[in-house]
Amino acid sequence: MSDIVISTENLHKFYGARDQKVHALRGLNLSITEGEIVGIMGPSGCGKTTLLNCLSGLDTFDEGNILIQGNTLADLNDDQLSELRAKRMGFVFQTYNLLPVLTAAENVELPLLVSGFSGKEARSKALDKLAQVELVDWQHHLPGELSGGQRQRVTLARALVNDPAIVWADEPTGNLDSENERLIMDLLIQLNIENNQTFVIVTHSDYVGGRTDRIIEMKDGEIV
Amino acid sequence: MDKIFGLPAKELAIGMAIILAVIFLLIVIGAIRRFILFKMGARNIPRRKGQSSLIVIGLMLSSAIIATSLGIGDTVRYSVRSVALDFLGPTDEIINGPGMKLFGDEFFNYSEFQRIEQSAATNSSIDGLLPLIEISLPASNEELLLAENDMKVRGLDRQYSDTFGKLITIQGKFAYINQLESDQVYINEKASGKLKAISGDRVSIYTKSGPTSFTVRNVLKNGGLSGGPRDPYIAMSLKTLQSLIGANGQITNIFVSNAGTGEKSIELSDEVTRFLRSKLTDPQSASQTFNLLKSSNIPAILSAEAIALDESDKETAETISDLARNLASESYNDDFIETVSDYQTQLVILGVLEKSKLNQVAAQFSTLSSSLTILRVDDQKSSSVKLAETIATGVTTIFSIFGSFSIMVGMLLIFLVFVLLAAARSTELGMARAVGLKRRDLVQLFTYEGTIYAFLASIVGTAIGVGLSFGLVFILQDLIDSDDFAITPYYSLVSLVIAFSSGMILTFVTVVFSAYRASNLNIVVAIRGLRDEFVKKAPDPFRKKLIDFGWNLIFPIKQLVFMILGRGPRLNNFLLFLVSPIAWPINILISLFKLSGRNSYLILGIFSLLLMFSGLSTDTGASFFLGLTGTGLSVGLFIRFLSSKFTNDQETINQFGGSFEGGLVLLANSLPPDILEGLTGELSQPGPWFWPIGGAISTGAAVWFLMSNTRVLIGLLNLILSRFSGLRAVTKTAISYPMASKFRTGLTVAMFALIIFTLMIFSILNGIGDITSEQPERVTGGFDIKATVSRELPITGDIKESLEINDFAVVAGASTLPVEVREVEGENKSFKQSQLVSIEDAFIESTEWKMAHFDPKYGASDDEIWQALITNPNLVVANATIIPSGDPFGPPDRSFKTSYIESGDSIKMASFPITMRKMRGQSETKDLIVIGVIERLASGTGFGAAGATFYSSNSLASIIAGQKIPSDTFYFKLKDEELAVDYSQKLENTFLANGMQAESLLNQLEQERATNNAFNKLFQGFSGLGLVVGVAAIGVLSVRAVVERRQSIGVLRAIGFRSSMIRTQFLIESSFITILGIIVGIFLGTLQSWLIFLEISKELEGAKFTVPIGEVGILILITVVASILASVIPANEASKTYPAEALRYE
Repeated sequence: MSDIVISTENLHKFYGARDQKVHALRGLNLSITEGEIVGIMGPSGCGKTTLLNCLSGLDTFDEGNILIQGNTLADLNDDQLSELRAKRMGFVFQTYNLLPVLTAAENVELPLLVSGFSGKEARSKALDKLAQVELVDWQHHLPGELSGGQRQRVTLARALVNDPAIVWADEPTGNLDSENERLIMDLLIQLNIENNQTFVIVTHSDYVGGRTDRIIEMKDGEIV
Repeated sequence: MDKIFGLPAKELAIGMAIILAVIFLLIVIGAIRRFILFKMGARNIPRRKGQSSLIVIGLMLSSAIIATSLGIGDTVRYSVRSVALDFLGPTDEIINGPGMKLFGDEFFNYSEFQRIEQSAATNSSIDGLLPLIEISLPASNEELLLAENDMKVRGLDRQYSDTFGKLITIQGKFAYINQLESDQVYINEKASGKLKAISGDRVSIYTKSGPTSFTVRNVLKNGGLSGGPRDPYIAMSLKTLQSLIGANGQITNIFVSNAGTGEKSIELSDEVTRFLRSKLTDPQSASQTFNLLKSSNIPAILSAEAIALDESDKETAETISDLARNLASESYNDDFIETVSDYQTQLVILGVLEKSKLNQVAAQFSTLSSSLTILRVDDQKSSSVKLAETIATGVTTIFSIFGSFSIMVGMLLIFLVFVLLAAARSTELGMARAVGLKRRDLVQLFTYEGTIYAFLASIVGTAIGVGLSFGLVFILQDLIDSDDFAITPYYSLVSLVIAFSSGMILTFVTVVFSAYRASNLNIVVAIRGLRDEFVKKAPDPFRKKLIDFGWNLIFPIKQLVFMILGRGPRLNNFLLFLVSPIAWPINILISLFKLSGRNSYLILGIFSLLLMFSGLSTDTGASFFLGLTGTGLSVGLFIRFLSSKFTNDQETINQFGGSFEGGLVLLANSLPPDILEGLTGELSQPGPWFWPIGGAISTGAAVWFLMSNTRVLIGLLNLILSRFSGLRAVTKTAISYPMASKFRTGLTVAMFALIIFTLMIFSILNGIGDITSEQPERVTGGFDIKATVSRELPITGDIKESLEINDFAVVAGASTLPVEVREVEGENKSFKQSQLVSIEDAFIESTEWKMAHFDPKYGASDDEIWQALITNPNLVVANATIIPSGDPFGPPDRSFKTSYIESGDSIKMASFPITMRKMRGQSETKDLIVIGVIERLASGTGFGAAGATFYSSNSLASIIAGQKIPSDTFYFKLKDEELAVDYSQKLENTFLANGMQAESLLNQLEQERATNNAFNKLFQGFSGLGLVVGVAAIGVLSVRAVVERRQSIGVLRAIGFRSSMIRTQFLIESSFITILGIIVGIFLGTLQSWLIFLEISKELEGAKFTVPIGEVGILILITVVASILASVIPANEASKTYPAEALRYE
């Protein structure tokens, strides 16, 4: 059996204060193994993105525990969390969230620069990744000059450029048409096979859900 | 003040108040008609209190700068005026001798007073007369061994003094000349301080016959008859002073007091002066002069001369023109007498007559004019008030010019704020447009909001400006370092209205313009938060543009037709019809540019060339250089047009076009003034107001060039910064964001650049002046002490006999004579006032004054030129004042000017002949040759020569005067220069009986330098106020950036940016923009200073161009630190944003 890279124990998360407290996550327990592609699905407001944010260290949680590759998130300070994200995680967002002022290549190389790579090394790796997503010819273009599908492929290249152990994807195909949705998922699965990376994908799409290894279904902050 | 920015102050205030009232009225009417728009605009202000406060602080600067400039002017005017009024007390006019004496005090007979008294009795405007003697004599307190070599001694006629004005003791009691015994005197507070003498003490007064001792009856408060606070005064009875100096039956002055007090008495001054002048003019000479000047077609000649002089000397032109008009009357009147009895005017008339070959008439006029004036009337109080006005206007102008850069920066900030506000509210505004608001509604909405900001900012700015002006004048007083000149803070209502209104109007106009631009949004782009580039408006078809152009050719008719037909809002059409004198040409130009589309460079080129040619044909430098700048821009635009034919990449076209546009404009604006002189001939120098305009154009061009090359800049910076591994990721984003927002970054860079530009010029030019500390001998001539003696008490015999001569290396005397000079062959053939200084050979042989220009025929070095004066007594050298300088700030200098040399000419000159005669010397003239001009540096401290001065060997003054002229100035070079201060004191004691006043020249130079430096620092500080705006702009930009980029912050945090990296990114970003501004400012400041230096160095041999690295370093440090501080709070806020929260933000 493969190693467990992500696990939670009785995870709780609340939003708001006092009278208007919302119990977003209600004692979740889950575990995800290395190389697995896991889909998190459920209706709007069920806590999918909140769970993803908590797991990736982008957000805090109130009770319980999260273990990422043996690291207890609650024990890490902000800088350590940042370092963990920089070196072991990659992110794909629904709205791409590329930096509009940087070219495709610059967007992709940015995580490497954060991790301390030299400019040359970073650029070379970034171009390799852009080649993998078949966008090397668009390296000098700004995000505003790319189509939605192209932008998401750049986001994917950025997420994978530092060879992360885990890739978090929040509605990665939410803004794409079905053709681009298929292309992105093909690419994602191919990269998963090639690099044995773990993918956690929050999605509404049955198509995306259908292509994952396992689906975690959520409702009202609980896994059902 | 009477005039502000060259316009009558009261009328300006009223005009501005009316404009302001109209603005308010329009706002109120608009707000009432569509209250919802007012509400939508105004509600944003209390919602974001922090941001609103920041905006108000930024916007207030225009008002603050204008209010400060006006306040300083007001206070200076009020203070100078108060000092003058305190000094004169009840005296409005002073009657003096006829001015025929070459030197020393001029006495006249007491009977003249009695004659005037009889005449004055018939004039109700004259309140009183006081005959007196006022002379300078040495005085001492023998007991305490204290002396004052320049004591003003007044002998007041006891019969009149007690009714003329009040003498008040320091105890506050009245004192009377009548109460004085023949051995008693009063002294004023200043004299009491100098001699440490009080009531009952003895003081000695030195005359030709030696010292005479008097008892001080009491100490009088300064002011009025006891003399102003600047000088020490002794007052005694007229009889006592007459017998003391052996001038029985003689007086030197008559004080005249007008009826009423304060403004009323000043208002009567013109009338009383005219009345007295008519009574003190010889009627027969006046009548003969009038008839003489009516003959030989002279009035027409004078009128022609007035027209010819109108450009170069407006004041003289007006005087001559008035005279020509007066000559049209049947008989002479008071105006004629007033004009023709003025010595300067007499010289001008003589010049005109001689130029017209009316030599016989000129000789007759010369004879008549010397007998024309029996006594002179000086309208002292009125002149002092006018002088106060002139100084105040000058001060206001200087501060306004220095402040204009900050005002421009303030206006840029207003613009930037509105660009950012529009960006921040784009979605809200897009929605508003989507639900039916028109574009003009958005303009109104923004205008309401902006007007509230402008109103608040004008109130705060004016209040701060008033306070700042008072603060600055107190610093000024400290710099002047004189207890005698008391600064009284004052702010006039007129200035207050102008400061508030101009600040408000300036801000309002910028607000409306910004609102118009901000309202120009695409609804879809605004709602979806896209970038403007995605949607470009299709250009109007050519036919429409042609029709628009046609309509604009008949703009007023179009508005009338539209108004009648009801096309568009009637009120709008009516208002546009009203402003058609301004709007018409502007609209024609705009529609012409629109019509020519991408070929508009042609239109600009044609206009610019026309402007250049108009500058050439009228010899106007300003028009020529503006035309040249426009031509540069049109060439740049043409290159942009050409490059668009070769590539479709807009970025490349912008880079290419922008580089040429900015580069060529900068080049055209940075040419040394005389580089094109070979082609253009000599052009008039642009006025002082051209400086800020040129500065703004250069800054705009440099920033345009820079922002067109952001690709190169990013590449370069990434190359450099990629070496620092810890900062790689941070600097990449920190540089890329501002470079992507070219418009707002460019605006902020321009703000910093404008201010640093001014400050750099101050720093560098201040450094050029430091030559006086490296080579002080070029100012002092290598002498250590300069001493003057009273003309009435000259040193008889050889001065050296009274000195311990072994301590001195050189002792040299000089005698000064007022003369009249004209060129023999040049253009300036009218006699003008000048001064001749005949100096002893010892001075000539040892002086280290350098020549700015000399004729190599007479020597190859400064020493040889000086030596030539000894060899040939008909040779002279002149001071640099004879070269026309065109100084716009200095007082008008009516002394002799040469037509042979111009400012900036090379060191080699051709000697030129002049004719010199003693003042009012009529026909006895002496022909001399000017072989050199001493550099300007020497004119200041050296002889303190205010006007044209010629230096010759020792005998010339006596030859020209026709009598022995004793030495009145002595120069001493000590063997040990360290003893200069001690020896100055010693010399004053030794030659007390001669009223010697001695001063260490190095000491004096040091004081002058310190004062100059302090003034420079003050102006630098004032100009640096704009930095506050720049820093505020950085703060506003940072706040906006944090809001705009919240989601990006989330992404950066997700990919591993630590919170400290986010903070660093924002801080680097603001420092980067600031540093770009600083670099542009330093570059432009250095370039401009270099151009100025080139001009200065032509006249100032050995001047060095150095950039004061230390000072610039401090400037950079302060600016960057201030910018960082302004962005610390938003940067911290950004760094604290939790990643998940930032990612959720839309």
